[in-house]
Amino acid sequence: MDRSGERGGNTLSYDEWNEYAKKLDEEWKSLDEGRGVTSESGEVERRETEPTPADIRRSLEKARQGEKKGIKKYVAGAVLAAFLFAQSTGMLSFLSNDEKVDENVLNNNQKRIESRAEEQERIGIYDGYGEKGMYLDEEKTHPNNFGHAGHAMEVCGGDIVETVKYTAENEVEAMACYLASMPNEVKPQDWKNLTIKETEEKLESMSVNDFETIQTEFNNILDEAVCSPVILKGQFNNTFIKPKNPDGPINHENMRAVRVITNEDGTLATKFAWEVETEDGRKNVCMFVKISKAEGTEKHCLNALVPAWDKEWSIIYRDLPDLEPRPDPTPEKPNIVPPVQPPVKPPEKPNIVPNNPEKPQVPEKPNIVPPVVPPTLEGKNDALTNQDIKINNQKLGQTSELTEKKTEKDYYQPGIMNTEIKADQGKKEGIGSGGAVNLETGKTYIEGEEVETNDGQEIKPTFSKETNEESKETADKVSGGDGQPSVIETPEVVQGLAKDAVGSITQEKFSGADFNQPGTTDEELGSIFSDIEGEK
Amino acid sequence: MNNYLIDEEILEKIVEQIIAESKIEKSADELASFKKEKMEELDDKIGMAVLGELNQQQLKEFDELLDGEDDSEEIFKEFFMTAGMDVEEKAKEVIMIFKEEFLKEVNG
Repeated sequence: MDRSGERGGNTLSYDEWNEYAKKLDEEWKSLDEGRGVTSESGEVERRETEPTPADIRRSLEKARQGEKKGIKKYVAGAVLAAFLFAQSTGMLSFLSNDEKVDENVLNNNQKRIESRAEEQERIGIYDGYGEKGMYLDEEKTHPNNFGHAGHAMEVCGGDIVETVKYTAENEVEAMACYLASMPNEVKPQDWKNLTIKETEEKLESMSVNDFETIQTEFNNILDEAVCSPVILKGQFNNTFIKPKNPDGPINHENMRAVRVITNEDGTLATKFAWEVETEDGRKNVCMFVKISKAEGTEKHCLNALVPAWDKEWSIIYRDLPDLEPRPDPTPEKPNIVPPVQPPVKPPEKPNIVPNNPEKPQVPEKPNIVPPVVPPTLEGKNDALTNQDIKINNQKLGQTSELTEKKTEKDYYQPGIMNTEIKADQGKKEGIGSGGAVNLETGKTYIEGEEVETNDGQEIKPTFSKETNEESKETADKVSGGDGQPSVIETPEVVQGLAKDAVGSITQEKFSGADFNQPGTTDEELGSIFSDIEGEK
Repeated sequence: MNNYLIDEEILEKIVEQIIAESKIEKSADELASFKKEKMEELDDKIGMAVLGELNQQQLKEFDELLDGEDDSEEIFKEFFMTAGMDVEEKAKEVIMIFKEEFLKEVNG
């Protein structure tokens, strides 16, 4: 701004003018800081060209009211990413300002966290339910000093893809879980159909060079994914780490992975989706990774999830023991989306037939439910080859057998999960890992019971008419009303860009994609779902 | 269709988390309307903050994009990138300020 005219027209001394100019600059600066503009060039430009608040509001309303969805999708993705970041780094923690500056309170909070950790340790859950999938802090300055997703997110600037890579790099168990949870279609050939444990053992047995090669390959696969935020429904398989011997040291050698099923209803996750070329044409496959917050602490973890009802993918957990004692499967409080209230229906007209002694009432027809026919894997999943199907069937068989044979003693025998990584192998020692999941395709679930198979075919539960309507409403609410349900593509959001977006990950980490493909009719879906229920 | 700029589910999630952590005590009805009010407020704050980063010319171009044929998310992403704006960062900033203000409000 040229102030020479002002200076010439008044009687201020040079010093007074300097003072005045400084004051003016301060005022401008504070105004611009309020608007987020701090740089010199920004200031000048802003002063000359800044729109009025009315202009801004007009544009905002236009964006809100208009038919254009692109801007809403973009902003929603950015806001969700911001929220996830704030949440994972504890920025959204609700400590008051007083608490923040009061060291006593901080110390008390720390004590609370520590005593909670002790309690968790006592019952055998290492570092807390809800903190599945943490990687071990490299510095290990304290036995309980684990790095967590918040730290990883900070290191990676909030980029979820980079965060997954980072945790995988720092912890072989995390890498094993992610890798095992990836859809077979995107996995390297030698890694298909392996359980988490098998994947981990294979990773651990590799030479440094081979390990680096697979790590690079893993990173490349992630880079090809399109990421979008989703809200989960239902129960999911998780893994996390507990000490083999609760009285033993908290170190890598004394830890092992266990499986636990948690209720993830309403929790946020990131969907990694890939479009792949198969013999049957192009198809979409995906996996889910989520950050969860441990209740009562500011720690978060990153882990992959597999829906508990998905027998096909749950087999990757088959050689992991179940967690005992089981924690309360209630999801972490701050991460809960309240259940959608069913619509209030007007009371139905009572079906009253007046008694007529001359016309005796005909007894009602019995409500006969037709028998359920179990589905076949072949029918469910076109994407797998015949060989894959055989393997899966075989593994399913093994799963049942193992489940029958395993006793509690078997589950807890020391050394069941050897996760040691030799330092000289160049791999970082760590515990904890991502639980694993993989859903083949953009699946949707209602109460963990709605499935979409590899070929995009949906399998829905047989609901009573009312329940079905309610579920549909829920699904519509969360998925933008397209009837595609319950892994919710958050912004009405994240649908429709998959094809164009494949291959452009980091920048598009929350861009949307519609991986839902046309499903079968409700009747067909209901029938198939019932069959799955029958299997359980 | 709602009149939010940001997806309703996301707004709800953020506000719910803040409400849950603030341990504010209200009846279910009061809470529902309070939540809605806060969602609108947050939507407005983020929208104004994001668009407020644009200069006159950029705002005009933004309006033109809204009027244009292309409705992809990509085009808006490109637009904000070209404008030198980090929408995610701005949103983060607004959410944090919103949280602080919320805290002051509920704690008197």
